[in-house]
Amino acid sequence: MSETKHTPAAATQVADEQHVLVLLMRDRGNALERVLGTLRRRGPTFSTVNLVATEAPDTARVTITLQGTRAAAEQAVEHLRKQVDVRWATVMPVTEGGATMLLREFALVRVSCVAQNRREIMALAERFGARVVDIADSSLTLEVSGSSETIEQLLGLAQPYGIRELTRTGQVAI
Amino acid sequence: MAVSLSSTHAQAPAHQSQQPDTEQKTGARILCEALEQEGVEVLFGYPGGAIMPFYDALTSSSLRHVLVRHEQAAAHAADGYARATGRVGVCVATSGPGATNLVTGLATASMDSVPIVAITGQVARRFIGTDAFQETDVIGITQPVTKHSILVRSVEELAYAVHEAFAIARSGRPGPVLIDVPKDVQQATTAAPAEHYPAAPWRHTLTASLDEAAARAAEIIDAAECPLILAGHGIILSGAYEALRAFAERTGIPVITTLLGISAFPESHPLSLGLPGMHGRAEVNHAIHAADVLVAVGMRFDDRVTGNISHFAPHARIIHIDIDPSEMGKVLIPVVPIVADARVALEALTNYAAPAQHDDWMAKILTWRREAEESGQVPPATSGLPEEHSSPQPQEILAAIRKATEGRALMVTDVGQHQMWAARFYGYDQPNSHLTSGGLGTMGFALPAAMGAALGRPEQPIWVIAGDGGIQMNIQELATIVDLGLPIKVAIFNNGYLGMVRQWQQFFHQRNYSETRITGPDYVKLAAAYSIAGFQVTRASDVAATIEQAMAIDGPVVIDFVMEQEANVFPMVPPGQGNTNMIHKAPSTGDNR
Repeated sequence: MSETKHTPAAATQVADEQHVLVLLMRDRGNALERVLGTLRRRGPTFSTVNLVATEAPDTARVTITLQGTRAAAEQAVEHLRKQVDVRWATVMPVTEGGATMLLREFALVRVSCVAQNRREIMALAERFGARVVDIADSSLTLEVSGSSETIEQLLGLAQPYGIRELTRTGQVAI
Repeated sequence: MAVSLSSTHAQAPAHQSQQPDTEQKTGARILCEALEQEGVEVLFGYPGGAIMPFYDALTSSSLRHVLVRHEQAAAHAADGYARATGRVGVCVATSGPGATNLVTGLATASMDSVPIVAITGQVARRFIGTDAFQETDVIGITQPVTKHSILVRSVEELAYAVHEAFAIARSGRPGPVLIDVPKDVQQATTAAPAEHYPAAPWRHTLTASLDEAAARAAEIIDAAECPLILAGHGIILSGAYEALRAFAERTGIPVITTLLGISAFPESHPLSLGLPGMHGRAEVNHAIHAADVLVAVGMRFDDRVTGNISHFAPHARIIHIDIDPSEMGKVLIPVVPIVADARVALEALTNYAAPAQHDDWMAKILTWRREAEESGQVPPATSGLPEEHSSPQPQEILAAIRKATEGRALMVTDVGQHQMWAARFYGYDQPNSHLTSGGLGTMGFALPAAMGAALGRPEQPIWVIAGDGGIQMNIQELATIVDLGLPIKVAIFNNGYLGMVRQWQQFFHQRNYSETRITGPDYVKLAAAYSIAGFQVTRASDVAATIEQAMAIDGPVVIDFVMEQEANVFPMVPPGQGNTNMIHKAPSTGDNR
């Protein structure tokens, strides 16, 4: 028996990688539900979704972080491109024309504190370029943006003080 | 691949030449007029509270409405009409239960790429989200089974939404589109002229240089020794019959037709091979296994075609032509992907491919065919007349229908064993003469779909082939068929079982016939209750005469063929196996308990 000349698509499914899918869509009716429904049914799993208005009226930019193979992510994009309200969709290339893809997210973290360790936490925030946006008797609220890894690092170091509340936007990419 | 604009529309919408209009109109009237402008001839529907303003306006429109007896049948009838004519089929239902009853029909059309537009009434805007009477989120429910869906939020958007729905339904890879129209939008009035709907406002990703792709494909085709064409529904949707034939004849490549590709290529043609896959012909599966090149056109490598994918066509390089870019690499990764309309792509391939003959290859395939027939593994299509007392045999019934209709029948089949027999034993030569629910496998499809098909192709004899299970889903449509006086002939392959499931139970569940024995009414009396002719055939020797008799009746006819109870469809590839592991007789492991 000679070698197989074609590859079943399933055979290309190797280890999970993170991909960032960016799309511009007409923001109406159930356009986002349709996009997410398609990913839920066909696509690789998604961990973050970010939808914002753009400078163009009725157009939203959606950034979705996917876990899966590159082929699966590109297949998902082909399905999304067929949707009437999706005007443009792509899996972000890691580099393009010399420019590197930038991924950022934004977080607000409320950290427990007492008078004795307030300075310590503020110094930690400064090291991460985070701003202190609220000071209360028993807490400090930090605002931080950066790569997901940076935010994870900050959270790891803030953990011993006690994180009371945390909110993250999910990633956006350019 | 690159992005390009496609402006290919089968039907040019008439609304582009419309005069500006400043008269006050209700949404209901605007809806009727938009449907008229789209060239709609017939709608299949069922009225109810939330769609009443539309039904009120309907009587003063030119639209023909067919009152079905269940909304599911409305969707299947629109589907049958669309498959039979290539036009967009339309169905209408009210909100809530009316809308949810359409869902199976939408899913059927979605799986088989059939252009239909469904219009549903919705509760008035102020009640949406309040759990109002007969309110349901039909947009949410139908989202995974429609190509697109639109909730019309104002009367000003209504005409645009209708034209958009039709354009989406028939563009690219066709599919169902749903428009949900709140009752107060139907009642509201506007004098504003409809916003002009652009002919092709969205992209289709097509292969940028078709010539380049065709030239690459042609190099592979020219070098092939054992090539095959796999032709699917895309040929029929694109009307690519002549293009397929020209390509096959120029290159001498034999043509396999998938279940939905049946009647894309004449079966009496010397290059025609027939059905592949789970219940495909033995020689077709052997040929796919030995092939060195597959030219797959307008098909999607469904699991019923491929069997276990890692054993499918192990020696073949694949050229895949489809209009849907997301089909490229979905199941198999082709060496040459061509995203294009089937006809356009085949014409390009025919230009580039060199004339060839594959006599040795064809002889090898015909040897497999002869071996399969001689070993009794495959019943030949034309076996001799059975003995006087034997029950009607599927191949004889189908051959008799072919003879009585001179091969002109439009065959509409349901889902199950009879579907496979009808796919194998009729001998389809007329383009688009076989309609069936392939992807979704929807029992209860055939009778209502035939109704739609009969309205679309009134000149053609229409035969429904259904099992005694499937015919009892949607049998209420006999009343609609009588209303319309449609001369549909219904052949019930009655074996007292849900035959295909029973076959699987026999083969893979040690004959544990769990809930597959099924009874039905006296079909002759049932036909009489609907005031139509009914026959029961219990002996093979009466098959041909009864079919002739049915053809002589100018009206609907029901024939109950009482058949062998435990007949099986052979060959069969057990689920999960490679396609060459066909079984040709029932496994002996099962004891008859």
